Amino acid sequence: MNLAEMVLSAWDALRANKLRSVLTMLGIWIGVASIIAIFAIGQGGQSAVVSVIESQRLQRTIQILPREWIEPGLPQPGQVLSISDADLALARSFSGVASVGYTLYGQGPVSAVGHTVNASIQAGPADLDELARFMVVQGRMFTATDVVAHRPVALVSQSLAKKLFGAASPVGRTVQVGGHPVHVIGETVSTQLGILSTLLGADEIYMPATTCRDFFPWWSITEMDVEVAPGVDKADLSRRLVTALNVRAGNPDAFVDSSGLWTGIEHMVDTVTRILTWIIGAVAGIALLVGGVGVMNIMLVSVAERTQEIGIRASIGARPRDILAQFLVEAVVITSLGGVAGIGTGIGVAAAVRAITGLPVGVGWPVVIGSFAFSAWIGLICGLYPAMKAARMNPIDALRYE
Amino acid sequence: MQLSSVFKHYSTGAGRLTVLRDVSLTIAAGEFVSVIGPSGSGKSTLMHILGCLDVPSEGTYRFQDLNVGTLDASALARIRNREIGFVFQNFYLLPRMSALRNVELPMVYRGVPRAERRRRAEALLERVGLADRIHHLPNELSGGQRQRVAIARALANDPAVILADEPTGALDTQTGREIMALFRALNEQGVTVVVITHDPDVARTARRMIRLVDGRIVSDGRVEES
Repeated sequence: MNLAEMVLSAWDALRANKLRSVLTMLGIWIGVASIIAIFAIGQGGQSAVVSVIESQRLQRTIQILPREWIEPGLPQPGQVLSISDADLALARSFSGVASVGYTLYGQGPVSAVGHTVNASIQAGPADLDELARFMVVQGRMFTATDVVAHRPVALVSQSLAKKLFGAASPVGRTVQVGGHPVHVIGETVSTQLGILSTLLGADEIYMPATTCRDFFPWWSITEMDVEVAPGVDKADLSRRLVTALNVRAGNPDAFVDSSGLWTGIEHMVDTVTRILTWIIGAVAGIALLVGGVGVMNIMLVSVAERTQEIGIRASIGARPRDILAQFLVEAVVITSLGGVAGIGTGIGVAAAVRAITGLPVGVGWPVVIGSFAFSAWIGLICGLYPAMKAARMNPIDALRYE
Repeated sequence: MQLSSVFKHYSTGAGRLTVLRDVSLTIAAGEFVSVIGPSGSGKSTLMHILGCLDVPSEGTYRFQDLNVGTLDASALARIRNREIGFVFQNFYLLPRMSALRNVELPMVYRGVPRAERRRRAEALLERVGLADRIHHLPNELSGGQRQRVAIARALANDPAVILADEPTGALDTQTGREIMALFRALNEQGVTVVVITHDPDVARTARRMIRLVDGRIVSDGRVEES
C-alpha cells in the first residue's frame, strides 16, 4: 500500500469522525499557533533592538557626556556640567578621530496654529537621526549644509505632529520654537528600544545644532559625538579621549563614554525578550505535548473501535506493518493538519501584532518548516503505541470483536 | 492443501481446550468441498487454519508446498492476500467504503496499480451481478448483494481457494441458494471452494462433504448428485 493511498484512507477515516478529529487537532493547533506567534513577536522585538545596535554610524561613534548628566550628585569642586568648545577642539586634535560633533538637549515650548506643546528639543549634526535613534518617515533629514548654514529647519516626532497639526502632515508647515519660526522638513518615529518608545510616543523636535545654539545660546552642550576613523580601535580611543578630557577638567570622573550605556540597555532588552520568548515557547511546547497525549488517547480509542475493521483488513491480506502504517499515517495526518492550521493562525496573530504595535514582526521559513515537522513528529511518536497495538492484534479475535 | 494430524488447543481459565483432534485432510485444486458439523465441532477453527488466519498447535499444514506452521505473520498475510479469498457469514465489508473500494482493497495490499485495480474490481462486480451497484455503500445493499460484494472481494487477487464460513447463514433460503449457485459456477470455472456450514442442504451443493464432530472427521465422501 503506497503512501498516497494511506493518506487518502486516513483522510476518509478522519472525515468519518469530523468533530472528534477537529477536537483532537485543537491541541496541536493551539500549540503550534502560539509557538509561531511567540517566536515571530520575539524575533521582531529583537531585530528592532539589534537594528539600532548594529547601526553603522553608532558603531563608529564615541558619545561622551559629563558624568553628572548620567549620575547626578551633589555639587562638588571640579564638577563639569557641559562640554566646552575647548573640549571639542581637544577631541579634534586626536589622531584617529574622523570628525567631532555635538548634540544639545533641552525642553522648550513648540507652538503652531494655536497649540503649544512643551517638547523635548534635540539638536546635533546631520547624522543626528542615528545618534538620537530616530527614523524619518516623511519628508527628509536635515543636511550638513543645513547645519553649516544655521538654517531654521526641524523634524518633529509623530506624537508631537499629531498634537500640533492633528491628522494633517506637518511637513512644509511652520512652528515656533522658543519664539523663532522654524520650517518643518520631516516627521520621525523613534527607533529606540522598539516597543517602549513606540508606546510612549515622546514629543520630540530635532534641529541642526547651529540653529539651536542661535535660539538658545545659554544652553550647554551635553554630548560630544566623536566619529572614529576606519581601522581605529574605538574602545582604546575612547579611553584615551575621556582621560585627556578629565585631565583638562582636573577631575578624574568628569566625563563618561555613554555609548556603552546604550548598548547595555539594548542588550538587557534583548536578553529579556529572548528569555520571555523561550519561556512562552516552552509553555507552548508543553501545550503541544498535551495535544500529543490527546492524539494518543484518541488513536487508542479509534483502534479499539475499529478492531473489526483491523480483523477484516488482516483477513484479506494486510500485513502487520500495513496496519501499523495505516494508524501511524492517520495520527500524522491529524497532527500535520493541526500544524498547518496552527501555522496559519500563528501567522495571522503575528500580522495582527505587527499592525497594532508596528514592530517588525515576521514569521521565518525555518520556524514554519520547523513547527510543521515538529507536529508531524508528534503524530509519529504519539501514534506509534496505538498503531503497534493495532498491528499486534490477532486477526481471528479482531474479526470476532463486536 | 494438506493437513496431517492437526491438533488445535486453546488454553482457557479452566485448562486446555482441544478443538481439533488429529485432523488429516487433503483438498486438491479445483475441488468443491463442504465441511459440516454442529456448532462447537471445530469447523470454524478448521477454516481459520485452512485460511492461514491461525496455525495448528500440533501437526502440519502444507499449503502449496509451504509449511504454514513455520511462517511469520507477514508471510501468512501474503498467502491470505494472494491465494485465499474469504467469505464470511456477516460479510465483513468495510462500512465506509463503496462496493468498488471494498473489492479493490485486497489489490491495494497487493500493490496493484490504481487503474488496473479499478478495471478488475468493476469486472468482478459485474461477474457477481452487481454492475449497477458498484458505488453503493454496504448499508445501501441487501444481504444477498453484500455477500456478492464479499465474493467479488474474495476473488480480487485470483486466489487458489475460496473459503466460505456459513456464507448463507445471514440470508433467506432463496438468496442462500443463489449464493451457493454462484459458488458452484465459480468452481466450474476452476476455483477451489471450501464451504463451512451447519446446514445439510447447503453442504449438499458441494461435490465432497466432510463431517466434523467434536473436533474429529467422522465422514468424508462424495455428494450424490440429486
